[in-house]
Amino acid sequence: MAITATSTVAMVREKFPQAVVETVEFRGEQTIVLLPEHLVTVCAYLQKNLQYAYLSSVTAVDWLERIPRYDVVYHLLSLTNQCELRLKVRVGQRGEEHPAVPTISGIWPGANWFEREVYDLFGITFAGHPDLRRILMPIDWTTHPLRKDYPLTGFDLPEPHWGGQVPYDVDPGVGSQTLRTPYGRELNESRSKINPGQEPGEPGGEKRA
Amino acid sequence: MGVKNPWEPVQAFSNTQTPRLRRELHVKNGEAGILTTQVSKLIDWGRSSSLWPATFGLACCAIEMMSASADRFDIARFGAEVFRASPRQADLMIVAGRCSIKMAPVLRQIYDQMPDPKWVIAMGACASCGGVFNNYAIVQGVDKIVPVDVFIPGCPPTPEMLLFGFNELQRKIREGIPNPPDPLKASGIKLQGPLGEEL
Amino acid sequence: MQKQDIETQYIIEESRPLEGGQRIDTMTINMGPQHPSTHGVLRLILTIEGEIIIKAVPDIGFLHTGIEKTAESKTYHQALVLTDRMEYLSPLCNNLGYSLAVEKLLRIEDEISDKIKYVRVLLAELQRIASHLVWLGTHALDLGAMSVFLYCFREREMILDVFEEISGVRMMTSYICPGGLQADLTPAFDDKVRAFTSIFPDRLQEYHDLLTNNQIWMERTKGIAVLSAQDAIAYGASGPVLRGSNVVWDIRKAFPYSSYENFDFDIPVGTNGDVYDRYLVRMLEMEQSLKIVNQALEGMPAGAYRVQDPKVAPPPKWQITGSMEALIHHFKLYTEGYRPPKGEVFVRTEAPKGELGFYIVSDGTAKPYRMHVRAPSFANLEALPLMIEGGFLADVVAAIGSIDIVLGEVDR
Repeated sequence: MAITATSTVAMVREKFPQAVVETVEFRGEQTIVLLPEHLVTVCAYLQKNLQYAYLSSVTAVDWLERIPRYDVVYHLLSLTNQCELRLKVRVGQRGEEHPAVPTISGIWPGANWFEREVYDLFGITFAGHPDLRRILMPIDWTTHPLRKDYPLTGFDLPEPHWGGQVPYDVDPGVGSQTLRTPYGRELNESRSKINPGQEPGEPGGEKRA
Repeated sequence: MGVKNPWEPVQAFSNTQTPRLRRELHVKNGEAGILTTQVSKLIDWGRSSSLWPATFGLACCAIEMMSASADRFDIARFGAEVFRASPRQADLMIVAGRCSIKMAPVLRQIYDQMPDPKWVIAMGACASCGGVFNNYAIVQGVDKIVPVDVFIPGCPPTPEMLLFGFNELQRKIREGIPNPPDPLKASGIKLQGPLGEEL
Repeated sequence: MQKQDIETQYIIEESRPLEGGQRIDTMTINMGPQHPSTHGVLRLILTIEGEIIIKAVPDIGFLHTGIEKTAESKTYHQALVLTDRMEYLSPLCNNLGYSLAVEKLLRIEDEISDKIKYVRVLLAELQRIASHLVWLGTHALDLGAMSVFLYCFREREMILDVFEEISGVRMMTSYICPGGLQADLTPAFDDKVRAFTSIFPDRLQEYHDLLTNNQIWMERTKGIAVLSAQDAIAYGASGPVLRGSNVVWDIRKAFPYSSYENFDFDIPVGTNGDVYDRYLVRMLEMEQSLKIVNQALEGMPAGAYRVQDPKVAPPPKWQITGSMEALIHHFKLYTEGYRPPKGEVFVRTEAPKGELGFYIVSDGTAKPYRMHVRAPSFANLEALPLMIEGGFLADVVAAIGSIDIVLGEVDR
């Protein structure tokens, strides 16, 4: 039987019913949401049996007001069957600072750098990754910029980095500045959002509870 | 707080619009030296007419810088005959592109490796002020790190704009306008190189 | 952890004893972020034994711009401008990928007229030629052929003239936007494109005469930096890197977008996966792109340059003075922006560097909740250590040039 995205979803559901949380179809694209513990087995099956030999990308989405907080998203492509698939894994319980996901770099070696990038920007660790260290930020950076509670313009500027990162002993808090209202965010997310009383010219020094 | 107000300008006067400064005449035994003034003028003319840039193309502006050195907008006709790869052999650093926070110590190190006299052109909006990217990752203007002589706006500036800025720098050198003060020395920021050493 | 401790983790310090009291040591050198081959700010930490590279570790992130985070605070129309600056050698292709993704979210793909699609294809292919010209110029410059650099930039100036004609900007045009094009084509567009297409075949032949059968070129590029097909697929390499390794895969043929199925073109594929094959693939791609440009020019249909839906694309500016609805739509679109329904899309296009993918997650508001860009050079660069380990130090520059990386999109 010809392998298409829809038939792939059906086959995965049939073979791993305990691993699949839900499947979504949106704009013609199939997405399978998996449980983190079964990720590696499903990926191995997809790569060996269903010829999904190409991993397009690994990324993550931070849903700040949802538990589990992060969606780790994998985009797969089958060159022989010309079909694409998206896998998702939901991780990040309440209070979990660095959620863990098993690595798939044993199946697709190209996932190595993608997972490092996700770790760098979101803080999601990958269990079993051969070399999990920062890739885009400076190597001794401590915070994870693409999280939703990290402001766009960074925190105040300590030296020697000219960008902003919170000093080691200050806790940035979760969801304190950028909670979304149902009506959308303001047009200009500027530094005054971190400390509403701060004037543009003054240095900040926000203290969060 | 070791960092001063980011909204304050780093230098107080405009580099190219400053009125002509009278160069200090060399005074010997109470007499002003006319010959040495002419020699200084000659030296300045020589320096401005043979500025050799160091290759410091970072991002998109680097492509326009390459176009400026290509055949249509030839920068060699203004004296920038070769783009020296080694900063030890260059006297001009054209910071072309956005400088990220990881690149900032490298930028400063390359600037330090250039021998005096040296000048810096901040090419493009990102090098001048952070440009489109007002965020955690981009240094909001390389004049926080190195003293910049000429700022060229644009995203990216066309090669003609780069050549105009280049000519402004040449005019500035010929008129003896000094380099702006070094922002790192002024603010007291201690810079750490990539291996943890102090720069 | 001290910075130095972190970085010395991946240095190999080996010393093999030889007879006569001698030994062979390895040496770790840093091919730093500032180096003369103008491929951007890439840092390679190379451990070499003599001239042979034992281990190569790329260190990227020197151009990390936070584009994905910045896009979360801009409306969809504003975020278009950011996509230009990622892959700065082919901004129109980035714009095309982004526009296709947003149009898929908005579900207005059927309203995009044929004229818009043909113009997009024409511009994307012109942009592909421009990007490959920069690649050829810089690659040849690195390997010593300096005049090729000047010739390529001479041709590229003609393409930039075309972009300046229609959009006013040479490079970061943002001309292809979700909803169509920013402005209609000008009358002089046709002449300028034909001026280019009439002289380019001869110029391309000139480059072939200079390089393709050149003894020095072949010795510097044949058999160098070989990437096997399995490795290329396993590492997610795409574009000419994948096709040079004997894998027939082009997204324009596999998942045709923006009316590519109406065009007749071939896909050049290499055999050995070395630098020479990737060079030939890109040279032949330039030829094929020219073919597509000619077809698009001949068969250009008439039509609107923008979707007629005023909730997505602003009505023409001159209508503001006369029509209240036009004014209100303008106001709403430029202050608040259109709100796509909740959901996510991943659209892949064939950029000059490879598979460029845009993953946009929308939560129903006017700003993208998450925009992730799958950059082709990121995955291609991951395969670099495979290509240069075991080779000579002098071939590293050839290898980097042949992958054709743009650090802007690697680091985003």
